[in-house]
This record gives sequence, C-alpha cells and structure tokens, in this order.
Amino acid sequence: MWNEAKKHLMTGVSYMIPIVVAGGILLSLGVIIGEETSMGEQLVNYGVWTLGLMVPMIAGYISYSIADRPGIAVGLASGVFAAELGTGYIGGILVGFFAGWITNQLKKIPLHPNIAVIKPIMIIPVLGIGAAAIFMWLISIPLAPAMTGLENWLNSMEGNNLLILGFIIGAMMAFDMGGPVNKIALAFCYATLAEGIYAPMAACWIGIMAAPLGLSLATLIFPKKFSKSEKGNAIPAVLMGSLGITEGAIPYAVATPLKVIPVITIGSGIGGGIALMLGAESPIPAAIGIWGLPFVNGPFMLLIGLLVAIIIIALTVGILRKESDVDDSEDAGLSF
Amino acid sequence: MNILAVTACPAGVAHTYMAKKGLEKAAKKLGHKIKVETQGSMGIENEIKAKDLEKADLVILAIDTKIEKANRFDSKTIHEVPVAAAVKNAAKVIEDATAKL
Repeated sequence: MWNEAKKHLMTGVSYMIPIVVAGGILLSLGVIIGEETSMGEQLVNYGVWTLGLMVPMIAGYISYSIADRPGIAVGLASGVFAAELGTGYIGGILVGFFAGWITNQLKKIPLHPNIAVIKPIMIIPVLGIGAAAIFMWLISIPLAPAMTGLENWLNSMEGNNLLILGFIIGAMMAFDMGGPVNKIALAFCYATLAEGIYAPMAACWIGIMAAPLGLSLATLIFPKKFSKSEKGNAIPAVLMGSLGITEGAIPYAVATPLKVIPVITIGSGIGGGIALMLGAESPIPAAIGIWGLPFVNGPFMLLIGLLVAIIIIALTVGILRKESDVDDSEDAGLSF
Repeated sequence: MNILAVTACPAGVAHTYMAKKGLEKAAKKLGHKIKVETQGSMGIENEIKAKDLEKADLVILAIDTKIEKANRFDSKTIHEVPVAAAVKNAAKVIEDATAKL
C-alpha cells in the first residue's frame, strides 16, 4: 500500500521535474536581466507560465500512475483546481491521488457494449473532474489557510530555525543519494519554491553536491584508502555532482556504507544549515548544479556552506576508512 | 536463463542506468543472458521487443515509478524490486528472481 503510493508520487515528481527546471531557469534569467527591461519582463512571464504547470503536472501524473491514460485528464484538471484554490503543491498531490482513485472507480461502471464508448470520452472526464472539483473545494477549506500559515512561518524563520531547516533538508538530500528520501526533501523544496520561499532550495543544492564532491576529494587526499574503481569514479562523480546529480556518491557508500552514509548525511546537513543561516536563498531549482550559482541570492554564502560540507565529508570519510577497506579484487561495477 | 529487466527511477538520469549496469554485470557473472530496458527521462531505451519476450524465462522490474507498457509482461513470472536494490546488490535480485521459478 505504502510502496504503491510512493510509486505514484515518484511518477508524478518525475514528470514534473523538467517543467520546474525549465520554468525556474527562464524566471531567474528574467530576474537577472532585470524585470524593468522588456526582455527580462517577458522571460519572467514565460517562466511563471511554465511553472504554472507544476501543480497540474504532479496531480496529472500521479493520477496517470494510478489509473493509466484516462487518469491524465482528470488529474490535470484537478491540479489546476488545487493551484487556483491556493492549496499549492500539497493540494496537488492529494487531489492527484483522488483523481486516480475516482477514475478507477468510474472505469468499473457497467455499460452496454453499444454505448461503452461514452465511458472514456464522457463519463470518466465529466464525472471524474466534477468529483475532483468537489473534493478539492472541500479540502481547500482547511488546507488553503494551512498553506498560507506554513508559508508565513517559513518566511519568518531566522537564525537557529534556519540552521535546523537547512540541516534537515541537506541531510535528507544526502542520506540516500537520489533515492526516495532525497526526492521527498526535493519535493518539499519545490513546494516552497512555488510559494516564493527560496531558502530551502539553497540547502537542497548543498545536499545534492556535497556528497559526490566531498567523496571525490577524499580519494585525492587519501588515495591508499580507496580502490582503483573508486578512484576512477572520482572524476565522473565530480562532473555529475557539479551538474546536480548526487548518484556518483553511491559506489563509495556501497563499499563501506557505515563509514560513508552517516558522514555525508551529517556533513551535508551542517553545510545546508550554515548556508541558510548566512542567508543563502535559491529562486531556481537545484537540478542544474553548480552552473546555477550565478542565479542564487547570496552565492558566496552558498559556496561557504558547500565548502564546509565538502571538507567535513572528505576528511571524516578519509579518517574513518582503513586501508584494509580497499578491495581491488571485487569490482563493485557501479562506476559510470 | 533468459532474463528481461526494466529499470526506472524518479529523476531518470542516474539510478535507472546504474541499475541497468548492475543487472547486466551480475547476470554475466551468474551465467544468465539479460536484456535491460531503461525508462528514464529520455523515455524508453533499449526496448524489449516481442521476440525478446518469446525467449524470456522471467522478468525483473527494478522500478520506483510507473512504467510504460507493463502489460507486455502479464504472462511472465515477474520479480519487482525498488531500483536501489538493483544498484546495491544486483546479484541478489537475480538470485531471488530465479528462485521464484
């Protein structure tokens, strides 16, 4: 049950990611050029319009994951309701599940074969979207104020609270190196980004990049403590890490999980916390890695957090590992 | 043994392909033939065709998301795991799958 739900959510996230990256970059380019110029203003508009698809996409593709093709229309429309009613991303996820479920129920309505064709083109879209509209209206009554409250609370965060927020996000991002925990943290950052709260995404950047960069640095500082294939993986890991892909860290974690996973989790958490406390904010998604640094508010603050995390990870893993951990005979087979 | 596999992860850029590599390597080591289709951010690559299905003894799905064309495998023995399982220990995934037959 839980695994199925997770799969539906992940499907929604995977279809949504390209939209968020494209919209985020258009938007930030516009902000950089300057909203007062017509070019900048247009870019901001196109970025905002693209990002407007974010909530419909996640709802639509959660629903698709549950109910296949007929679920897409019901889910997309439901997602628009979620966005318009001010329940944002959380509302979109909930209504996406509802849309998939109701579509599956409507599929079961028995119809005479002669008129069965009206089911996919009339009954499912009309009744499905109608039901989703009612559902969305009902849950928006408690959810819309709750989202506004969450937004205000996150916006008012400062000092130690930001440190904790940054730590949690950085740690979750690094913990499973691109797996489900990472995607939950990422989804949270997308959600806050959509509400115009930019701090969490800054911690995301660090959680994505610190582990592969730090572990690669460790292979340079402590060459005797890493196997040949691990050293060979260092450059691809750096390249991927700087492009916003954490997974290059996985081979190191597979070899000695207990000496790597806790370190990257805590190290990235500390880096994320520091960056947020110093005031780093990212108005664009972390998915483009280091190349997005010019678009960040407070790029040096983010860099400081990142460097602290990289150094903690490189040194701690280097110290924890023993030369006896190196196993050149066994080819982990996970390098790129 | 002839094994087919599909890998898919949420971002579709790394885990998907690492799982493919892991499965291919482990299958070779265990003496099985394998064809791995990836359903990443580029859509379906190395697609499993009807002629592959004819010969196949079993299907491994290493997936965290919904996959396209899952009904191709309806008549086959399917072993489904999270994509991370195939990245971390593909040999065990294959052993568990063959034990199902």
